[in-house]
Amino acid sequence: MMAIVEVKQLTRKFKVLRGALGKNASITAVNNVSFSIEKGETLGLVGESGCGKSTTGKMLLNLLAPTSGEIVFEGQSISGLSESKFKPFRRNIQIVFQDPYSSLNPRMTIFDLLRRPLKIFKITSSKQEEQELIQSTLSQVGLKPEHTTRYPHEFSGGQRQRVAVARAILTSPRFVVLDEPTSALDVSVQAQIMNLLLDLKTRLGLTYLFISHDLSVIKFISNRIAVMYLGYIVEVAKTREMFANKLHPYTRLLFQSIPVPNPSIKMEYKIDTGELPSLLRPPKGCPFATRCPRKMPRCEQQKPVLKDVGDGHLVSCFLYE
Amino acid sequence: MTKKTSTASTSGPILEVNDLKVYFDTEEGEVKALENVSYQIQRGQVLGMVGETGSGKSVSAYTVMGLLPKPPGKILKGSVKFKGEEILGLPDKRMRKIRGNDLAMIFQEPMTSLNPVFTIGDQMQDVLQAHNDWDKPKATEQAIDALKAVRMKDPEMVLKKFPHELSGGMRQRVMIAMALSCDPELLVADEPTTALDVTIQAQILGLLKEMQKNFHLSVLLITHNLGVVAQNCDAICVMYAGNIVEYGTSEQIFHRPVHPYTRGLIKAIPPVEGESTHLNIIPGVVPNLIHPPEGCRFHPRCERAKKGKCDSQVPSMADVENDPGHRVNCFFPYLPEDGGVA
Repeated sequence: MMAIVEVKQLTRKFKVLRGALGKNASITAVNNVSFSIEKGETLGLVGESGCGKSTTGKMLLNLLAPTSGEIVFEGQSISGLSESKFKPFRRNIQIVFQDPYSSLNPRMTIFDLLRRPLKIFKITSSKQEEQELIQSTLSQVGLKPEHTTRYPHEFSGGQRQRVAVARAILTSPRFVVLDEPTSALDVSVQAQIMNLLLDLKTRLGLTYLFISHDLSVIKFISNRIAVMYLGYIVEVAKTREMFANKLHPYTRLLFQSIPVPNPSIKMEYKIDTGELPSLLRPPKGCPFATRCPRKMPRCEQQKPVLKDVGDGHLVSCFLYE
Repeated sequence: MTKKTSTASTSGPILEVNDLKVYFDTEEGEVKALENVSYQIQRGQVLGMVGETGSGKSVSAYTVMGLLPKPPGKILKGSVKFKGEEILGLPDKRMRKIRGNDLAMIFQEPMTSLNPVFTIGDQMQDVLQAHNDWDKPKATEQAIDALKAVRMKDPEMVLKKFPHELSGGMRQRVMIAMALSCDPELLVADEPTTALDVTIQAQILGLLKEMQKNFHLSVLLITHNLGVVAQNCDAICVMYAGNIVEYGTSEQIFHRPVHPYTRGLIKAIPPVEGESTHLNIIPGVVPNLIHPPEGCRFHPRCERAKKGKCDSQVPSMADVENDPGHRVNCFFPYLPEDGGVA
């Protein structure tokens, strides 16, 4: 198997202004993150607000430039490319955002929205071809031909997300970043979109990076899961292995926190599990040390690194050294 | 201070909602937001109200709290009895007395319910002094106690902070402390954890559980999250398009749901246990409540709908056979024996 995407020691810092004097400070949203995604695989990137999962996704699309590190797509380095140099890759790397209300231009009909990528990448050579491709893509995502003349506001949230998916697959990409694609949707609609995404992946031979805060959704779609916390990847494992044998104390906390929709499984809520530290004052050692129930003295001083504990299960924790 | 009113009884359900009908006037037409909504909350009980966007769960809560904006909202029918006393249509002054004292509410986004230009201390004292005959030091002392009760570290410090200086989870703790500071009997919690991260959500849900036990609170918990109702509620109302479609204990709702919508909804959640490659879907979309479907409002999406019945007649809540306490609003429900989906 060949990796379609390789991310090597990716770091992204943001400058922020602090205090009344506007003193410069910076936060590290993504910190030395490395992973690879195999062709045809879905890697789930899970974590809570501010863990860096969306920043990572945006860097893969060249929507944000990495501060350091490298992104390799099909063997070619794509990080830090200018927009014109990146253009040939953009056709193959697409993204679907969380909120279809803000990712679709409200002044354009669905036809115009979908025609743009075809024009930009010169995918079709005639009006008729254009028409046919748009129609067939719409039917692939479960929309009807007559929908092309409508505007985004005439659709429900689920239908709008179908339009966003149609736009992403229109250029026949090989890799799609899905950034919380169902988080704004109701459960019954989420199920429709999840089924669609899984179906398209198989049918079109796509590779996904699926970003979400919702473990049940991540589990449904991912072959492998990477857990992020405070800018770091703390654990990576195949989905089944992750659910059966979670190692990192943060992964455990995350899994224990999901309210299970089954009253026979009684959850123990822990009230004093602490809060996320500020990225402006990150912990010196392990990022999770401030909240970790199994903290050791060295955790406050040293940073653990991701290590393979067997069969591709990676964990960044001194407990497993 | 005296809390009990002369008309209030001390036995029976703490809240009784009967045949509530609430519409909204909008430019597009009349939104038929709630119809035939009846439910009760027993003392010390946590009732979950679960449903998707637009099902009417928040409208129901706002009506109970007397916070429904009128206009555009209008209550066309029904009654809301709190401890046996009718509170629909009470004069504002009287309702303000009940709200805060006996009936408290927390909202989804604590940032919008806290005033950004006052400190937490100012706002908590304000609430406490409005409902009690206390001077400032006494109110401060009580505020500190209330913050301690929600396990806030360093409560004296928190009182000096402005809302934006606290995290979302901390703000929600402040809201809970404020809501409980006047020792209410019924707490209405409208999506209290929806804006929070999952590890913080767990903290707040745990806290609500603890508070409910310690204060013997009755709670109306409104959420779209089926996991939250399964874990936190004694009884559950499932809402769809302005109607209650099913009512039962959490075991009844999750292990032997009988309404086709409830079953579809539970099966649509990606399972955390076990494997799956396909999720159950409910075809179609939630109807527009300006022109809700004739008959049963769920019939256009229902796998069991029958022509000539579900599309023309409105079902009403009825007991489920052989399952005491379980009620359903459907002409052709599944049977409890049809088994669980959870």
